[in-house]
Amino acid sequence: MINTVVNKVLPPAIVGLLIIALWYFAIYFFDIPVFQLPAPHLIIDAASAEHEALISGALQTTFACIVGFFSSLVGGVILSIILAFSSWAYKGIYPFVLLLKMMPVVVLAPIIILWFGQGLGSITVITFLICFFPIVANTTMGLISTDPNLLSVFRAYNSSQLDEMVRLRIPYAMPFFLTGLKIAAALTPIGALYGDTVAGMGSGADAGLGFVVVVFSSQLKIPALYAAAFTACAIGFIFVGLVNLLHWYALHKWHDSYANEH
Amino acid sequence: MSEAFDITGQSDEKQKNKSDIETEAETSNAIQFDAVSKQYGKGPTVLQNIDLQIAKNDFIALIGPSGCGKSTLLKLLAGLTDITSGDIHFNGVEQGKKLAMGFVFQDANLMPWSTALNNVSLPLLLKGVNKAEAKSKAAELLEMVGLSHAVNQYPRQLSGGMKMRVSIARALSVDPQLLLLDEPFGALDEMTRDDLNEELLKLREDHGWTGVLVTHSVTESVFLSSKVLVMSANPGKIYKTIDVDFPFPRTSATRRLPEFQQKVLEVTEALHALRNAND
Repeated sequence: MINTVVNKVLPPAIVGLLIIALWYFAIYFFDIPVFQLPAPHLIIDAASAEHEALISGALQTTFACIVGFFSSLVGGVILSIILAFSSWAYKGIYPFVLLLKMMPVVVLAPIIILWFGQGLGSITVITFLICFFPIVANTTMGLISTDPNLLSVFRAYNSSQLDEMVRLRIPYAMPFFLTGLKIAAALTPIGALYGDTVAGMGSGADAGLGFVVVVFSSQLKIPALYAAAFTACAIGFIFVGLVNLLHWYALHKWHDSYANEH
Repeated sequence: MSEAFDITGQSDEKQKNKSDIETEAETSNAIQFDAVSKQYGKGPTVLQNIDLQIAKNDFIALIGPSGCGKSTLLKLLAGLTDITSGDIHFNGVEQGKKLAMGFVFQDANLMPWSTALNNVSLPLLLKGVNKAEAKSKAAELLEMVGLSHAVNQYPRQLSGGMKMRVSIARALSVDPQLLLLDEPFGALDEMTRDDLNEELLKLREDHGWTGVLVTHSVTESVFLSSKVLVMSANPGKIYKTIDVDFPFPRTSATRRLPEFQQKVLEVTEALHALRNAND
């Protein structure tokens, strides 16, 4: 137990302390002005001074993340299953999924705002779009690339299409789906923050973290900007961490990716 | 897919006539191939005019060079692919029912996300047996193949021999009348292979299924079977039938009999003669 703590916590703690030391050293040695690189303690000061805006912004953004991410998950999985069930659907629909993927969100954003208006609606849609493709692409790949040997076991015992989907294709696709989910989880805060900067509005409790950043930036609150960046980081960590937990929960008993862990 | 072993002939008039004839004919041949040929698409003929009778409780071993169609013959029996011409009859099967078949595949082919127990339950669940019943039957079978301690283990945790035992238990879960084995022990070391060969015969004593085995091992073919069919390739045909009439149950002592060595030699020589004829 103590060994694992030492093994897992000590190396990043040492590197982290080194980075902070280097940070202070650079500021004093090169005489870097505050507006270019504020010292860590100034960032902490700014975080505590602006904690209300940061916390409510983070909550707002997390909400957009959750809604966008989960609607993408549900929609993505449903679409993947449809694509896997029929090769006709796959051939017909998949090119348009790609088309959607190729359209940069930056370009789509103004259109989305025209449709859904300024605010949470558009932000959620932008988050949804940014998560959607990795989930669909990976899940579909998993569903259609089922081990042919296992498929022949099922066919030999006269399996129905439904049995094949539920008992074979879906479990087989699990690792693929979870990989897509990991990528989507890392993209989620980016989607929500970007959505904030183009479609965000309001003040106080209504403003998402991205909007808070825009405000700080216009007010030249440089240390507060850094504090906002770390807050956004924390949201990302929570999302990716939860998906990693899900990955572990679903796969550790049988999947080779956990075979060497003991 | 069901065509190959559906003898009810509900839709196919030709089959109906044939099954009428069958009821009059003697039923000691459980399975009969009449001039069966198989060609995949417009490719070469994989099997040509195969005539073959498999009696109830026979254990047939198919051996021959790669490309001789032995695996295809197994697939035709399983109904996994359609016959190009000719017919396979399954006698003594009730009207409207299919012959209960079990399959042991190459490399065990277990679902990695399922425990041994759930892997063995699979064919029963696919048949619509309820979960509790399927699991209790699966547990019994795992005990029978000596794996009661590994019921809740995942394939990743099992050795090659143990995986193969799970695979055999899975095949037996449907109480098969016909067991099809496609090079089941090819990936195992020789000791494990011999052990599993003996266990398979013991299981057959208790359950009495008819067996069809595809193998590359001459020793295995002689040890397990009541009849070795040496097949030739391009196109696949039965080159020679060698009866193996040592009594069952056979044990490791059987392997040491001079007659056993003689049979092994006979099959080996047939394979050599075949190779020389092709050269």
